[in-house]
Amino acid sequence: MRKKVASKTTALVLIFVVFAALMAACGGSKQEENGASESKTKEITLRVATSFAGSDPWVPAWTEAIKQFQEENKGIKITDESTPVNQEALRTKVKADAATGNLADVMFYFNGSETAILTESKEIVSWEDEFAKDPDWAKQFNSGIIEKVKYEGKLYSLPYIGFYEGLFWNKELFDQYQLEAPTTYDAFIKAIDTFAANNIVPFATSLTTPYLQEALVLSQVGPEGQQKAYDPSWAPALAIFKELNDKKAFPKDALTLDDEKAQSLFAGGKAGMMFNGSWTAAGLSTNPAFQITPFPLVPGGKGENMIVSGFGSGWYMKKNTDQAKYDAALAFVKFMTSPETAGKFAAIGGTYAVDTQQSSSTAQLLIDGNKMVSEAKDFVMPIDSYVSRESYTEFLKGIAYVSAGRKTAEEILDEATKLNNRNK
Amino acid sequence: MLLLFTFLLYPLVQSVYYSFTEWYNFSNTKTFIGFGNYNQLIHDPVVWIALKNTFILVIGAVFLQAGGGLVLALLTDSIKRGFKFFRTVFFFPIVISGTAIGLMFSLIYNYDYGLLNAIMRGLGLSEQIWLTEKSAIYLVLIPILWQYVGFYFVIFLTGMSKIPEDIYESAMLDGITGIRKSIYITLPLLRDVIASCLTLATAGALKVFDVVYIVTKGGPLNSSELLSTYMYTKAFNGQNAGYASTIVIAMMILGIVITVVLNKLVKKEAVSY
Repeated sequence: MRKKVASKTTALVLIFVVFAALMAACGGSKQEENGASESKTKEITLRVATSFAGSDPWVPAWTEAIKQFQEENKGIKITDESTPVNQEALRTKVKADAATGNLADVMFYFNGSETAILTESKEIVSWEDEFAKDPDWAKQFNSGIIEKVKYEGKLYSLPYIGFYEGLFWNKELFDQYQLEAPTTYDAFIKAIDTFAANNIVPFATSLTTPYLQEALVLSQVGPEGQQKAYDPSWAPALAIFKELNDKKAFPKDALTLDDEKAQSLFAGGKAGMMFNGSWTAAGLSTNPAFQITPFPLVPGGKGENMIVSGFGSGWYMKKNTDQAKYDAALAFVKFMTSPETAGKFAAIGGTYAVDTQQSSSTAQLLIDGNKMVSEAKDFVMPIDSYVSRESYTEFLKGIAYVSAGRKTAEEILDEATKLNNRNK
Repeated sequence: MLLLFTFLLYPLVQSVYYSFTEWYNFSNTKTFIGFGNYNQLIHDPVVWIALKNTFILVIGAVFLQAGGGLVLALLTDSIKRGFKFFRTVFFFPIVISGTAIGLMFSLIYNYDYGLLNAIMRGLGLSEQIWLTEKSAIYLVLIPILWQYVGFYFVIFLTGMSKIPEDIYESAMLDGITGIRKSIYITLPLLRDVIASCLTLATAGALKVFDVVYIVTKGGPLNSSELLSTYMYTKAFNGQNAGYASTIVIAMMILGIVITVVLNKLVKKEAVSY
């Protein structure tokens, strides 16, 4: 009997301990905030959520920047909550944080439709006041780009690394088969036919990734048409997928291949071309055979020498009632956007909305990429920056169905339009 | 009870509520839409593919996982040497994470760098696309079955060890040995264990996610989609948590129905030795 009472007591104590631990864990940040305001000597912990994680090429620069910042600011500790963008992991994390009132102090996160979701939380700093207080810092940002990333007239997301998408091609393989550079659609198609006939993957892509679809839509309908979500005028661009698939332009397992494996096909010299983003350029830049050009104009298209490019992410800061923590977060954002730190990021790749310290190590492919951007007639942001996630996910899945001839482009566009209208 | 309520009942009730709402982007705004999501669920062709695949998985789990575990246990139980070795070998996959197994098999099936195509090349045969619309669901079944067969093997082995030795001795005196011993003595006396394993295998099959998501992500063309992978895609890629909750409720109802039916089929009077 005594044994039974004792085991019951033990069980109750255990449950109490588990709950106490849970409550303590949940209340941790508040205690921390109070503690920080009580004693200025106490270490400030900043939670930082960015996309610099996993296989992201800027991970080394990010890790080094955090280390340097902590060394220069002894009282501030950075808790790195960076999450890869793959499979929408970062979006899910930040949205869940926003919904539960648990946003990180500093975020490097998407803008566009995502800014709208973050501003709903009313916890995001609008940068105008800080720019007014520190005009020298404000001057480091490109004012034209600042205007483009504003949401409802306010600047919530500080633009930083810009991206571009381009057609990467392997000059060595093109020379070997005496092919012209794929700057025109005819040259592009001739290269596809030649490579397919010679047992070389003509175009390394996964049919589950968005890049080629973005290029084809822009080339077909131009920047204005691209802004009309899932417009029937996009249909000919999507139909090209079927045409290319019939020409055996894609890897044989393009329906199940992921983007990283598609990239490795191109990087390993097994494929002649690949359409992808500037984030892949850093890894490719070690091989001088790799060149970059805008996607060629498709027959009857309106988007000649136009590229998908922009500043899809930026620095957000949470409104902190604890002044010390607010100042620490601001100091961190200023450190990250300083020419020195931005210069280290720029050495890896991308275009920048802030002044950057010149790096002598910039590779030729990265220089060519930036040249392609500067010579482009116009730019657009990717389609997913202004449509609902659900509609975009289904649209993207639809590409595989079109390629396999299982659905028509019109059917895919119609389904995506319905989903987009349901969740604007 | 408090723990049960906090971590099971409350989230379950919330999920039921969410399944009747339109809830996008994990925002704080949820709109009650009645049976709207359920109507969409019935008319969603991918749900029917996922349902068919889930049944394939349940059948595979019952016959090949639990059945395979039983056969291996019967074979191992009858050998005199190497019992411990086989027990370790069969149980080993269970300690490897599903993610690692998924990654391993995705490399095995890969067209360019995969093991299977390397073997094909070595044999002078032409390379194959292994993960096709027709084959994908069966190929992802292999790692799932391989991973869990050892689990049921150990349960059956434990069940067998509880059967009193004198029953076998009496049978031996009557001249019953080998396969007849297994059919007429071991299997009937293991009926309770078999019933538990069938329930576990069914419930386990309904929960499968990691291996399929890593190997095929439900593709190609949704052909290997399970209710769990489709729910994940809708919740996290599509950011439509309302509809994803509806899929969760459908999975739960399906699980309850299959388990009850299965229990009714195999449950008879308890066996006592």
